[in-house]
Amino acid sequence: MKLGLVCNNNIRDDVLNKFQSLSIEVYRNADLYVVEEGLHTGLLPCIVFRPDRLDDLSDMLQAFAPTTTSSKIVGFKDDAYHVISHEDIFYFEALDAGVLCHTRSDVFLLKEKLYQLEARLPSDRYIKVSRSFIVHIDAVTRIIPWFNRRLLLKFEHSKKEVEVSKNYVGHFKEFLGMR
Amino acid sequence: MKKFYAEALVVSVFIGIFIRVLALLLTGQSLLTSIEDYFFSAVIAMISCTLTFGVHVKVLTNNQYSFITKHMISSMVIIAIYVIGNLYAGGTDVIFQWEFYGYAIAVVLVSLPLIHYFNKRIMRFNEFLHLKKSRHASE
Repeated sequence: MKLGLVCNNNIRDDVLNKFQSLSIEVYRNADLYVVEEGLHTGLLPCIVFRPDRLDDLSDMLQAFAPTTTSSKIVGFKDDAYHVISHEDIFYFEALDAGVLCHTRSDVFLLKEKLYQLEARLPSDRYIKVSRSFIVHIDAVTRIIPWFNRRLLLKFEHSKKEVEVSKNYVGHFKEFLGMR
Repeated sequence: MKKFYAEALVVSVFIGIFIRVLALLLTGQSLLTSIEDYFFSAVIAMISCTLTFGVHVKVLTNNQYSFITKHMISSMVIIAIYVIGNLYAGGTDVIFQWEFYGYAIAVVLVSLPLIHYFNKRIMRFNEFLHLKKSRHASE
């Protein structure tokens, strides 16, 4: 579930720190809004908090915290674990041996399954495009339409490419805002 | 990309053979006339496919080229395929017939809306992609 925040600017930084400490991302277009008391008119249903009781807000936000508190991905390569930043990720690929994380020049093996990744990755930046691929949309530079409702995604400064299968094209278009 | 190209090549072979069969039927000739020409039809179709595929991937999907440039390049490829096909089918005599040039212009004019449609479709996808990415950049 995506959370949004509505509050006065004088407490905004403090409240955002609460969110960040729990690795909860704040979205402009959210499913549910966390609203300062007095500003919630017209925003119901929402979660209303009092600015003088931010600790209570933290307790409540625990329920929305992701199971892993890191926004980084940990991958295994060359007998070592590496922390992979989201900015470097192109896509995830599920194979029999496990899930691979593809960056521009490397490929890392992950411990998590694809469905676990799908649950914890930011849903507005990562999109599942077939049974075996989750793509980081910020790394995509070109979309090439093909016959039979398929699309090919190209990545920056790389020969790597991923196909959007026809069963996922509708969802992909929705994700881009085309529907 | 290789998978898409391979698919296109296979389909083009069938299209080339189909066009050969159609031409023989329309001219009232036997389908067994000049069997080796089926091979050449398939080769021409594969060359056309390769050129078209290149235009689709390198030109139409490229934001650096203007709309007019894309149309010009696509039209040149179409004319090249048209000329090759006619020279193969009719020999060099065709270039002295006005119908050769008339049909060429007609083919280009008919293909313009198709190119426009493909280009619009490609541009739409990429515009929404860049819009999505710019929203993330501003957050």
